[in-house]
Amino acid sequence: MASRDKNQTESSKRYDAGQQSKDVPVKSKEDMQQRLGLGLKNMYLSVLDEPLPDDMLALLDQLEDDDDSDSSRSHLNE
Amino acid sequence: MSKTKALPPAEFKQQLTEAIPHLRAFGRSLSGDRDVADDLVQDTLLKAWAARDRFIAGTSMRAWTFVILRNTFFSSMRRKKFTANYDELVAERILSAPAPQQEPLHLADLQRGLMELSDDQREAIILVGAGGYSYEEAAEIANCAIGTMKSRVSRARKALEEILEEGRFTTASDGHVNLTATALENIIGAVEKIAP
Repeated sequence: MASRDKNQTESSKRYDAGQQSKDVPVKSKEDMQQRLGLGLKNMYLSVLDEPLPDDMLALLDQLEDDDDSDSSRSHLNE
Repeated sequence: MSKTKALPPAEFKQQLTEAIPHLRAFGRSLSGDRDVADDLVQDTLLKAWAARDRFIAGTSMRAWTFVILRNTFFSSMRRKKFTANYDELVAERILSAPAPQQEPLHLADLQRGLMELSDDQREAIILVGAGGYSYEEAAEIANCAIGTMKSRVSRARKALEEILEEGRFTTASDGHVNLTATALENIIGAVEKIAP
């Protein structure tokens, strides 16, 4: 609790405390709804845009290989 | 016959590969942590592959693997207390372009807000609000009734709006100092949460 209060003052998180960096801290409800909706979608979409990690692709390749050589499944490095 | 038409391995693999970005997005917003999410996805891929005979061709690979991922995540959360970690680099990404009078919503704030929700509500708002799934699809993934899903989403939305409106988190509109403070506060908050 105490640490949080300290952080808040230091980084001027409280709008009523001292410097107001932006003009209006109070936003309309629709405003927040819109920002939230957009934020959620963008959060999700930004991950979709990332390239596939190599290790995941390698894992699937390996699983497929193991499948092919099913009888002698010795090269699965657990 | 207990086995419904199974997909040939190559096709299964193809569909599984296509699901990966979605699994990562779902896992990351659910866990709040990139590495944890990617481990979860790896686990999910392994489990999905092992269970591939049970996948019914023609149904949604994404929904099927989402179920595996969320079950894995929620059961691992129960086993070991889960510590959410926040990636400062990712936190710098501005999520919604601000209108002149708006301050941007930052990923750190949003993710922190998400982590304050109950598991049920967080999952609901991620699937419907972020992933764009229908209530019906989301209900299927979360294994609940459609009405339940609807009310989870609306309660999650309301709770998130309140959390963000209260300004408990930095809006981080003026640079890196605040961003760092936000990330730090997130970690402190997460620690407080697991060790009350």
